[in-house]
Amino acid sequence: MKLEPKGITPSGTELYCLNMGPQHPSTHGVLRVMLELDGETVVQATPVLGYLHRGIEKLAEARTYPQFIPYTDRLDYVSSMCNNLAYCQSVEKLVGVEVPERAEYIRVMMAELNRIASHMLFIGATALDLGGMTGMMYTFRDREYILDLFNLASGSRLTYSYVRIGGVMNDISVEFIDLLRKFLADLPGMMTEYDNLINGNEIFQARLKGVAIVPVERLVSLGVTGPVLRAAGLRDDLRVKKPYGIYNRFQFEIPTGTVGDNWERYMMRVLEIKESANIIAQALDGLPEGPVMAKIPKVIKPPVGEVYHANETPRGELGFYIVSDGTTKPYRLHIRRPTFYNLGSINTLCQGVKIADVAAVLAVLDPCMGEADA
Amino acid sequence: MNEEMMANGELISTPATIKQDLRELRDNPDYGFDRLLDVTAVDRGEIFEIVYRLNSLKTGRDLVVKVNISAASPKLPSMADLWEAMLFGEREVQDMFGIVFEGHPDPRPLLAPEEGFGFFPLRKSYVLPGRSGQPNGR
Repeated sequence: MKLEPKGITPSGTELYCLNMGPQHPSTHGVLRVMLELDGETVVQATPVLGYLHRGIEKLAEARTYPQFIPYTDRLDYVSSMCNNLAYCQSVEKLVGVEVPERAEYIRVMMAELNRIASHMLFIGATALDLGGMTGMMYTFRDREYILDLFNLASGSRLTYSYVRIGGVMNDISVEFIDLLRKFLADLPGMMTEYDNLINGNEIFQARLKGVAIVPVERLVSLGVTGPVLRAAGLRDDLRVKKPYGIYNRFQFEIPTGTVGDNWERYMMRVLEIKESANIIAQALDGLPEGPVMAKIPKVIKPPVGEVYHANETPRGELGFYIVSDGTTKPYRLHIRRPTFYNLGSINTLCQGVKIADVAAVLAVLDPCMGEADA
Repeated sequence: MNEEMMANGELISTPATIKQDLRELRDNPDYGFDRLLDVTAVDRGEIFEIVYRLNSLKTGRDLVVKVNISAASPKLPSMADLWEAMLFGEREVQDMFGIVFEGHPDPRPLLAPEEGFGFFPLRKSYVLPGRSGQPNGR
């Protein structure tokens, strides 16, 4: 798409266009944003998507239900466990499978661990986008601990396919539980480190506070979900509003903001890490013995019908809409991707901010282009 | 349109009344569906089924609104002036199904390249070419 100068402002200055991306370090993937500027102030920000579009929804129509699980890993590739879980629960809802207790607990532990890993990456990347190079080293070091845990359980660091239809791939070992307990014991120390190094930094706070405040009605209209919406003061979390799996058994807080500026959007993630750790600790204590896989038929053939099931991933509401025609492959599979709709708010969020803050707005939206483009 | 018609969380509308129905679902405080979370389509051969997914933040209620349009001339009024989310959502459906949303303020391709794919990938008439010569990517 061409960039064209858009005329003269009422104050007599000429608007000009600046291209950002698709190869730009702070777009977290291949996202292009066309900025229209009045001096240093953004007048219009137009996102251009699709550089990572692989046609996952079409591919699903040619795959059997279990075969599609690895594709969900490649949607939001920093929180694959949550994607696996959302997809598998959708199919289970369609087929009517009862998942064993132990598998439910393991699923919650994995999804929340992945939320922590994703938010750690977010904290580091935000610091990096605002010029704090050191912060990233610490969050990535700690995230690696979680990836090692996942590697132990599933055999891979990023694309797990660990959650399966009817349960999980295999049981977790005693070693895994010991290491997880050690991680939970270490986590408060890590958080203190981030507080001292990043969150408490005066410059970092000044860059985020009071920037990109948008009325909550606009965000609701834009279909924004997840931490970005909660920062504006809405207690909207599917884990509490429509508890899926066994989330209704755990006690945890949903952090919400008041102003809804970039700083609160950032802090939501920091606070959510602590709540996720809280959930994992409860799940570890309640972990029952037993099988981790339900008895499901070798060939999964759901009845004719359709299902929509949504989970709260680190980025918001991830929903799978599956239409079944009674065969082994979905007739139509649609994914409601949170990042896709969150990215739609770029123009609203960026209007009126300075050009240096565009990177900050993008960072706190936490887009994952694999998911947005699908 | 009344409560009875949406008894099982699903409302079937028509292309002529869809805009009016959705506007009422949003503005009438009895319904109060302030969020349009998603829009998508299903290719049913002769017809395309458009699926809107509404949610109310106040009551937590969900509603699916479905409308069938003819596949021969697929067009529907745009909801982008009611919910800004449709500025993105409808463009995706447009790229994938070739459905025209009349009145959309920015109907450029979103996920497709600037000039479009040249086909509409999620229509059943588009068969995914496979590596081994078999259809649908197998």
